[in-house]
Order: sequence, then structure tokens, then C-alpha cells
Amino acid sequence: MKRISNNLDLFEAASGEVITVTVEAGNTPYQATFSDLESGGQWTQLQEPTPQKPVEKLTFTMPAGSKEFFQIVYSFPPEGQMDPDAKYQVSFSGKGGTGDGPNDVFPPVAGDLVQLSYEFRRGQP
Amino acid sequence: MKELERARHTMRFSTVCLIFVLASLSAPCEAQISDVCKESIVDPAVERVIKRMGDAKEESVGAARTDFRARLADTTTIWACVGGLDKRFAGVLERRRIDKQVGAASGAAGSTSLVPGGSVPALLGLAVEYGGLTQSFDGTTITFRTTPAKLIAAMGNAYGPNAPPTSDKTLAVLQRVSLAVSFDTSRTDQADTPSGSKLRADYQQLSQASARIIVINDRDPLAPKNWRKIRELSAKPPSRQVANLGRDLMAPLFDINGFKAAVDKAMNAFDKLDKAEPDKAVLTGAFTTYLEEIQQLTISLPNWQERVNAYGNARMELDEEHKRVYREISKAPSLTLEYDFNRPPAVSAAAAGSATPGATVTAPDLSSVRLIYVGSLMESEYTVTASANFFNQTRPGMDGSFRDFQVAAKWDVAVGRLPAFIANGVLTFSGLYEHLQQKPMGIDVLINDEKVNQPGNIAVFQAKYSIPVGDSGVSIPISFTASNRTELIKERNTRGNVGITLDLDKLLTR
Repeated sequence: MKRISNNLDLFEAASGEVITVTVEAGNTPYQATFSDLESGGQWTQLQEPTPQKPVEKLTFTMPAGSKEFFQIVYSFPPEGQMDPDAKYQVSFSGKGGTGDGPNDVFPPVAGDLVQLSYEFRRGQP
Repeated sequence: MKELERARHTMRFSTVCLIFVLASLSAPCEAQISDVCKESIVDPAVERVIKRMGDAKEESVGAARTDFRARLADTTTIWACVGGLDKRFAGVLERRRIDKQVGAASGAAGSTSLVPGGSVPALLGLAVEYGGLTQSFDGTTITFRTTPAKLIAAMGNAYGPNAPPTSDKTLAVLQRVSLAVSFDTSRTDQADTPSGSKLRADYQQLSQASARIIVINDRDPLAPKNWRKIRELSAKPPSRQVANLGRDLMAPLFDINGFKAAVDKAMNAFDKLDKAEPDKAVLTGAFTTYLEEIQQLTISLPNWQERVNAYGNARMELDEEHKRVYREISKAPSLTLEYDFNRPPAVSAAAAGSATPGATVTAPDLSSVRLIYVGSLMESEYTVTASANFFNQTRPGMDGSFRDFQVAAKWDVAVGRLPAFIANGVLTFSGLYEHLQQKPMGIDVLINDEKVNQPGNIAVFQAKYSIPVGDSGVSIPISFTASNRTELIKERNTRGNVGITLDLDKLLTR
């Protein structure tokens, strides 16, 4: 897999490639939610977050269609209960040590959550 | 008949014209973002991105770029600025937080608080307050408050990546500890005068030092019990619904070529900024243009408004659930143990029996041990404290080192806008009972020719209204205090105080 845009979370991955998504919460309770995969594919959870290690790992397999699209909702505590250093980090890894991140996800400027989109387009195997 | 036909024809023509005019008016000739979007999303986002650039170093610029990129693509931005923002969506609990003690604890000169609260700001707290409370001295007290965990983290940043990291367990313990020091700027070489206001932060001006440890803190969202409650919410249907409806909202946008072009254009504007002196107007313009372009693009998307509405409803449901969980956490009880070291001010009066009338007298320093319990009652919050005070030295004529025992209670009630043009305030009722075992200063002193040496029981009642000045971190406490006597003067006392409190947590994070 590889990133194909520096301005959007657009990636390229080969059909059948297994992509691992890792989300880690820093100075904030883990409250990330993955949407279902647009293609109808299934997530496989590799790691469940705990208070001691607030890291969640999920994988999906790049479908045969032209793309995969999903969102991750990163929730933060309300302003008065939030650590000023609160953030999430998200990273992606694919076949052969390819990957991207970790990328910071900072708290929202309004409301309590940040909801980002990730699109994986089918590329060459 | 002809006239009737003509009238019908005229009516038909008029109707067609009217429809044409209405259609022309409703056509999105020029997209424009709403004031709510500008104030809630665009302006704060741009301000934060520019603030992140700070020193213009590569790391700071990288973080600013990541932040700006996320603000553009965040579903919240699209929903709020392209679909329409519901005001219930803005989370503003900080403005209503009422368990912070930014001023000096009640023993220090110049404090307007009768009962100290149960937690402190995470960052340095600075408060300047005018007016006295349980003592008959007025002055200006400046309090610095911090936590060792934050200091260690700051030192870690200062020493760079080679500094040995502090273990999580150590940090967890240190996060429960806070330290504060207060300086009374009225303490000058010319004895205590209200006119003295220059902060020297030396031992002469030191009026109080305190250490707090939070014994029970069920209010910490990171405490395992709360952590699990919060994590559970992220797996529940309202969260999954928001995730899935957000995906349905954004996926069609990603499919339009114009979307990526609009994002690239805005990011290009960011990349061209002078990072040392970023132009806020340029970034605001780029963000606004981007949103206007997205508004135009969504016109062609089928069922766009239905998707926006479905997502908005799901957001509202999740928002309520999210707030409910955190409100429960914020109302959990906490128990704090506090140690205060108090240095009473020098008194410009003669000690009883002194051969030199008019000389300055300094009473022995005091140590206070205090237990503070904070709980909630419906939407209000109460605090109960019990404390014992001891003199640090026993002088001739003193009855041991035990000075007094105090029990105090405070009830904070968040009130609406009173008067209407200011922000929501907090009304506080406090009561204090004190058994004074011996002379309040430990020694005989004369103040205004009155001998201050009488032990006894003291009862104090206070009503205080704190008015926040907008969201600036500044608030004005106005208090009314009545007591059967003060520690120093055995007479009934009624007074009013007005002060100013600064919350640097708010000021520094702006």
C-alpha cells in the first residue's frame, strides 16, 4: 500500500492486500469507532485497547472492486475534562512492510469528535 | 367570456412569472458560509493552526498542516458548514466547570473563598484577588499552582528525546499531587501596606505554600473504571450509527473530482503561507473558499440533504449520550488531603507588654492539615472540609501548638445569565464553624489599640456570586460575609468583597 495524496487520506493498495489499521489514544480515554467497510467486507480485530495499552488494531482485506472506503470517529472528552495534550495516532501497514503514519489526530475545535475518511483505491499488486 | 378568459390568461402568466422569480431567488447563485460555521469552525480552526506554527520549525509546521488538513476533511466541518450546524452540538463543559480553586486557599490574606475546592487547573494557575475574608487583613495575593507531573513532562520536552522517560506509574501518582505557592505583594520592607503591589516572590512575600494529594478521584476520565465506561460508548449503536452515516455522507464527495481539487487548492494556500508570519486572512479565505466550493459540489449529489439530516440526528443522539457519560464522571466524588504552610503577615502593632510600641510583630507560622470531600447533588456541587491548624513553634504563654479545628461546607449552584448580558455564573453558599483553642496569633498583639488574644467559637456565613467575563478565563467574584466575630476581633462582622480571578488554563489554551 502507499499514500497517493498528501492532502487527503487517499491510499493505493493491491486487491487482496491485507491492511492493518492501528489507532492509539494519547492522554485521552480510547473512544475511537470504526465505520463498517463500504464494500461490505469485514473488519478483523487483532488487538483490543486497554487502559494500560490504549491501542486498537484492525485489519481488512482490499476488495476486488475499485476501492474501499471507511471512517474512524475519534471522540474526545468535553473541554473541561480533557488533557491539553490529548490526541490519537493512526497508522496503516500493508504487504511487505509498506505503510503510512503514525499520523496525529488532534481534538476538534468544536464539539467532541473528529471524524475522518479513509479511501483505499485499487492499485497494482 | 372573453374577459374571463383574459383574466385567466393574466393569472396564468402572473403565476408563471412568480414561479420564475422565486426560482431565480432560490437558485444558489453564490454559495456563502453561515456565521455559525465561521464562528464555530473556520475562525477557531485557523487560529489554532496558526498558533501551532508558533516557532515555524519543521515539526510545528507539520503539526499545523496535519491539523488544517483534518479540519478541511472532518465530517463535522462538512456537516456544520455545508449541511447546517445545530447549536446543541458545541461542547462547552469547561465554561460551566465549578470545582476549580484558582485563588489562594482560605487561610491566605486576600482570599475571597471560604472553602477550598477539590481540584486544581492542570497548568499553572495564577490568581490575583483583592479583599479579605476570615482575617482582618486586606492585601493582594498571587498564587502559583502546578502539578509535578506537568513540570516533569515540561522538563522532558526541554531536555529532548535523550532524557530518561518517567514511568507511567510514577506519572500516575504525580498527577494526583499538586503544589501551590502564594505571595502577598503587600508585604514590603515598610511592613504590610495595601499599597505594596510589586511581586518579588521572595520569602518575605511568601504567605502560603501548599501541597495536595487526591486520595479518591473518580472524576478522572482516564481512571480504569471511567475508561471502560467511555470505551463501551464507542462500541455502542449511537457511535456506530454516526460512523456509518458519516461514511455515507462523505463517500460520494470523495468520488467527485472537484472535492480533491478543492482540498488541494486550500492546502496549496497553506503551503504557500509565510510560516514565520502566517497571514490569518489568507488562511481564513482559503478555508472559506473551500467550503463554498464544496457547497456548490453537493448540489449535484443525490439525496445530499437527506444524508445530512440523517447524520445530524445521529450526531445529536451520540452527543447526548457522550455528554451524559462525561457528566456522570464529572459529578463523581473526590477526596483530597491538603497540607498548607501559612505565614501570617507582620502586624504593624506593638506586642502586649513590648517596650517599643509601634514595632512590627510576627506571629508563629501555621501548619494546616485539611481533608476535602467534593460531591454532587443533582445539578449542584457541594464541598465539605475538616481541618486542624497547628503553630509551628510554641512561644512563652502559648497553650501548646494546637490552634484550632474547623469544619466548613460549601454549596455551588450554577445559575443562568444573571444579569442577562453576562455569561452563566456560579452562586456559592458557604458556612464555617471554627473552635479556636487559643490566641489566634499565638501571642498577644494589639491591632488598632485592641488586644487580640481571645479564643472561642466562630461561625461564618458567606454568599458569593462568581461572574465569568465571557470565555476569557477571567471571573469576578462578589461575596457577602457575615460572622459572629473574626479570629482577630471579637465583634460581629459583616462585609462585602469584589475580586478578579484569572484562570491561566483558559487563557493559555486560547
